[in-house]
Amino acid sequence: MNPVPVPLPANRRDTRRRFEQWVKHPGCGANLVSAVHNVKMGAVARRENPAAPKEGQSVFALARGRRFEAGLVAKEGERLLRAMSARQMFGRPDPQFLDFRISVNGGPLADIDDAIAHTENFLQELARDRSFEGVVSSATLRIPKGVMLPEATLIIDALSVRLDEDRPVISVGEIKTYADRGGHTSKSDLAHARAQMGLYVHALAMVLEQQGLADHVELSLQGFLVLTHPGSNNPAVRVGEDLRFQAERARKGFELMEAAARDMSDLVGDDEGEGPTSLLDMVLAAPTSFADACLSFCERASACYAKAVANGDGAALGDDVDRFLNGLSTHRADELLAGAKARNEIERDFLRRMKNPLEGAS
Amino acid sequence: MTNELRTTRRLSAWHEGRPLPRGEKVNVHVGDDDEILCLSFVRMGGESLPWAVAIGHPHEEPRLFAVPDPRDRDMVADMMVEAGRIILEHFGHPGFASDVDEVMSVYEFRQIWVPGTSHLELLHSIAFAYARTTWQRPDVEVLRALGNLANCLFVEAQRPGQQTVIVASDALTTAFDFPSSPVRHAHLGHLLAWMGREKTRESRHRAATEAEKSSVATTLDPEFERTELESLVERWNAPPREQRVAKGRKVARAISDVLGGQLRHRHSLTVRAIDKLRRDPRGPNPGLSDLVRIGTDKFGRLWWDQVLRELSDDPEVREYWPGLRGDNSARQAAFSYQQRVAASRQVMHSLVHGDRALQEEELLRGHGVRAKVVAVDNGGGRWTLVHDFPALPDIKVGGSLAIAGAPKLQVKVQSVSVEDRTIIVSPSWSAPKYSSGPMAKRASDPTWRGRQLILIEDFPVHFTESMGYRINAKTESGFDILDYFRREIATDLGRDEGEDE
Repeated sequence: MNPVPVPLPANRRDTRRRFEQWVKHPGCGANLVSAVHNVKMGAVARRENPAAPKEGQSVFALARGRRFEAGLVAKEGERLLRAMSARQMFGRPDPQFLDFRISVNGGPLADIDDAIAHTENFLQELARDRSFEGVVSSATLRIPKGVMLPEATLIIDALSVRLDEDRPVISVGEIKTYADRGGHTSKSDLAHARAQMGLYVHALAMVLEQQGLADHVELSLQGFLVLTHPGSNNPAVRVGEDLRFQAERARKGFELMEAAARDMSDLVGDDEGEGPTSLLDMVLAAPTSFADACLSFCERASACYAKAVANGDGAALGDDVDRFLNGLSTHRADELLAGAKARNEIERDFLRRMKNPLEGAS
Repeated sequence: MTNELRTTRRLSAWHEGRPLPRGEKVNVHVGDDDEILCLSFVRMGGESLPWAVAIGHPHEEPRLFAVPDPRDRDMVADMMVEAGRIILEHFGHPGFASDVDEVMSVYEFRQIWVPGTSHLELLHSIAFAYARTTWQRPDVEVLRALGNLANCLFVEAQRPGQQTVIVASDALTTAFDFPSSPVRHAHLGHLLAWMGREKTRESRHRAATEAEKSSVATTLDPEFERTELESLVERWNAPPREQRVAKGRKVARAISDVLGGQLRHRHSLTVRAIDKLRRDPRGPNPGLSDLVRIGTDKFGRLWWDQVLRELSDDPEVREYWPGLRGDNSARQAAFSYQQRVAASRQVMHSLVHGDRALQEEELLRGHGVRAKVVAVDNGGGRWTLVHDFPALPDIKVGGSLAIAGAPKLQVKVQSVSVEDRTIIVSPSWSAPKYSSGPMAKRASDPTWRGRQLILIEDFPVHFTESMGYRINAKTESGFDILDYFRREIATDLGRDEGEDE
């Protein structure tokens, strides 16, 4: 059987979202197939159960995000540049601004391919003419290597350039509308944004290497976040976000994802050869594995949870219960707690730990 | 280890098909109705300030405040002035007492209850928006006072053992072990449905799953927002800004009604949680009174004393409000860490002696030992113990242990032999300590022999607290090892950071 094919051009888009989706629960086969084939899990959920509730984002939140980002880049990025300059991100007092947004997002470029070409030209130019210092909005990258994602695309919200002894240093930035509450900013929101930036760093490193620019343009392992001030649309820039480990996570993640995708094709078939014929069916045919993480991102979570409860899967009561049961089902645990005789060492151990947790722990 | 205890309890709760009491006592303080103010918020997706607020004591209908569109900062500020007056009055702010005769001379204990953590975080956003504002508008001093109170409440909520700011879902999970995954425990409706009147596990489980479909966080369900509110908000915004109030009364009322329904739901869940805890037959842990006393003192210093300083006519007296962004330096973070460690030890010290389940948890955390007294020698000056849990106790020679259930009966560790599981200790008392109930016996009393005891670590809280103060104090040499850990972090911005450009 062939490796899982990559339908184009759909798979060239939304790479970041799909990668992050997979990372949230790499142990679930359906999640892997969904991410690899760019099949929205919501559509699968409604194929499975037409009454499945629709997740999705708040219409107001989406509008706010668009308004905030548009406000940042309006008037040649005046607001964004001012906020970044206030954090001493540039050496010169008049940093420049380049807008690589595509027309559907209110930018001057025609489409994604145009944005990729502009970004590649920009990087080449940066290596030759070391005079640019400023920020690029929506720099767009095509990841040059990979079996599963041969031409994956990433759009970086903001790419800053500063000169360090005449050598251009580029840093990735992510724009988010949530509030910067200092040390109390949501840890999970920050982790998510840092993970995104790590992926961009990894992709930029590959692009610079492929274009032979790695020796001429320095890629910073520190990123920056553009958030909002609570109760306001003013940007708050957080600098010095350490992305070393996030970039490494992305590199390793892509390798693992590809390997997992190759293995999975043996289980669920592909959309050209044998096995289920549609991509939705491929996701449905893939094995699922319910876990706590599913609740935070997957629209099939309630269906998988119901299945886990019915099958006596300990994960329905939490990942820790699943580990504690050591292969026993909750049904069997119920029987044992009701007085059934233990049949093997695993069951005897379970009863010992349940009846006297202190003994179990010593 | 403690996690494993929670895991086994959750499995037992699943087997029983209902939440099981966690501990022998309720370890959350539930104030009187007049001491408690329930607060619930709703915010528009993407916004950080409230769209609507519900405020009320548990025994009364909540007062509802809403604006048609929270993106209008003036309207939100007007709403928060009204809501803020009630909150400030509840906490006894001298500038906002409805009756001059009722102005408190010292800070008296007050509580706020919120349905979930997101409501607590919204208090912090309110603090950011208003605590340092220099906005030129009427009643700005109410907003500033509200912002400072909100920040102090948020800061206090981080202190282990505090009883001033109670998140209802956390309070329930402190008192019960629920038969569902902890990731679902932030949903107050889910927890309360498990405690409902249904008779079987299946029916309770169904009710809990159904309850999860209604949001109780500050954000609304996106689908609900889209179907029930999007068009109303569009209609409100259709006329030019200056005509909206005049032309949009009906729409504003419709929006307020929709949001009011959401808020009432959140408020009623909070009140139900309070009621469940009050009716619990276990009763409160006697040690909670210590925590309430300490909390009153700490919050009094954090907020009340600063209010008095602010109101003082003396130009020499300046108030010191806590920063909004958390710890701004390694030194400050280290200080806060030590204070929190001390507060955690205080919680343990106050509660563990009144609850055997907590003693078990402490043993599993490695903070104590279970042992049998095998010999009482030297006129009670030397006891020989043989421990059976844990196999390798984490106690050190010279350390102090207290007998669980009798905090005043302390022993000092003289030697520990891991091979034969023997510990030699010297009791710190000789005559009976009558406050120790059935254990009020001389250390030399022969009936101690053969008795199994749980001995809990008794590290003096004030040592940890004073360590924090030492770290916080600057050294005379100017050298500070914490300087190596300094890095660039966001600093508190100007006073007008909450205002739009």
